[in-house]
Amino acid sequence: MANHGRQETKTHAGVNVKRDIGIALWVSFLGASLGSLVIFGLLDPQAMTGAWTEKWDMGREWGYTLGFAFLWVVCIVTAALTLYLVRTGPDSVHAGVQVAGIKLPEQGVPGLKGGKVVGHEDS
Amino acid sequence: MKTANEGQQNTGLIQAEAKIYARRVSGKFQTLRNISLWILLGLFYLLPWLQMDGGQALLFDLPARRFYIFGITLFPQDFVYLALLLIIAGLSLFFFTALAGRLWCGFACPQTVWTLMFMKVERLIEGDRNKRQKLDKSPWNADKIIRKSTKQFVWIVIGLITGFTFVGFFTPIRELWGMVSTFSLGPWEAFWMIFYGFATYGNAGFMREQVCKYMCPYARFQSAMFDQDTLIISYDAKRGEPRGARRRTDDPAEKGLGSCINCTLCVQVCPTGIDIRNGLQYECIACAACIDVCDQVMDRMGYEPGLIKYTTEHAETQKATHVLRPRMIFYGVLLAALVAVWAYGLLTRTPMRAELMRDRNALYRELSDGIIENVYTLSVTNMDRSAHELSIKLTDFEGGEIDMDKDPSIAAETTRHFILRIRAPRSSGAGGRTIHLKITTKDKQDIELLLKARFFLPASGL
Repeated sequence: MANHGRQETKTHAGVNVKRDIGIALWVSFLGASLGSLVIFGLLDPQAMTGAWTEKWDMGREWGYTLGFAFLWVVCIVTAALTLYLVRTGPDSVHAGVQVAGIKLPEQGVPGLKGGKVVGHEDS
Repeated sequence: MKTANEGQQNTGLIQAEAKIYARRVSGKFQTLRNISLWILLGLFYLLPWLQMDGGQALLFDLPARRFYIFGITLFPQDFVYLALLLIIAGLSLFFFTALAGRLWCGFACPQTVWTLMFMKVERLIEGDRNKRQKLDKSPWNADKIIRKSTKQFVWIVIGLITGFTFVGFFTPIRELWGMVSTFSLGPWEAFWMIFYGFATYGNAGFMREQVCKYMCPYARFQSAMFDQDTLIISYDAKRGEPRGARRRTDDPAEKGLGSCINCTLCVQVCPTGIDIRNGLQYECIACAACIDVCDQVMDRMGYEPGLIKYTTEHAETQKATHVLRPRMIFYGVLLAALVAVWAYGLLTRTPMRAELMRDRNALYRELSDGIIENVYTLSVTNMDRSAHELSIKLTDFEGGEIDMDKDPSIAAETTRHFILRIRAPRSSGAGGRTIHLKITTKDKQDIELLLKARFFLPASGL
């Protein structure tokens, strides 16, 4: 019954594109945060100012910000490409709505017993 | 059969779901959660105000690349301590998940802690579950406008205080308070304060359980760390079913009923809106609200408590539960070893570093009266919050002397370069030899650095 409504609202091969974009942005944010932590733990952005930034003389804050933004963009591209390839491949198991291995949260998650969400019938 | 809600269900970024009106609950586990809440929030909001050695005790000064942690100043060179700390944190999560399930989610995760606080505010202003449901359904009137705007106002204030405190871990909080009170915030501070404040307001006020369900990676993979001896919250279906309503005086056996009276209170108190009676679900953050409320119902009915309880898969199948098992021992030993290495390294760490580099232009220079001179650059980094007078001596070089270009002192948290001319009579050797340099400070006993270098002399016969 719940699936009925869902299939009609799916846009691209039955996939919720908005949610895919949301996931790509969010996961990339996490990845870029971790990457920034490691990179700027080891590198001083001020020490990276080379010939092309000489006139600019950006502070460390801008260095951190641009570094994070760069990592975020790279991660977004990676995550989006991953999702795109998974969703659009010739393998119908990956692309279709009735995915065998991948389940929507309300259908439960593999490996857990009876993952069914019950709404608030009482309210 | 399709409802309007169902139609729009899956097009949004996050699921458009029925709003959850969690009912207030008290009991053993909720008391524990409240204690955890106050301790963690207290630490967050008060720690930045703590002073030590004339500075902020806990300060992550990113623009200056210095971390001040309770009297220890960490430089970028100390990155290994941060990396090790992150590994320890990750491993602790594994350890406690294997031991007691989603302890982190239910009791310590910032998402849980701030949501709990925002829900307390909401309940204080709008009332408990039924009142809130009624208020949301009622048309906009003076009472509703006042209650809703008061709630929003308090939430926004908490969000801004949270943003302010967060920035206070990175910018000295007393200075920051000065900037806030005179409206002279810099762009970075203002941006992060508003950004973090808004994130708090959005996550704790609106997103709530959706963060756990749709955004949290840990919620998805935590079950991989579970085994049959991990603590889980579980409904005893054998005892509870068949569920059904009855009078308190009724004998359940006579009516063919189990212990569950189907009051649905366990669903009403659940912050993620699941029914624990359907079995373990990944949405369950193990807050134990259903345990507390069900125990109260069982008590009122005169039944044994524990229809919903903390248990293990082994206990559910009448097998013994093992707390000490290979997985726990492995995680435990590894964790203890890492913590020991980390603490030892941090406590015995010398707050000074030095490097001795040879002058590359010449191996040696011969002065008058047969004295040989080698030139070095000595770089000293003082990571202490106080300045030091240095004493630099050769330890095993008979006749060797040091001539320095400036007085051997160093200011707090700086790097200073010295030109060192080491001179020795020609008779002290031929070719090259290794020399050792000892650097100590005159005021602090525990700083002692030992450096090694090559000293070149003319080869014999020259």
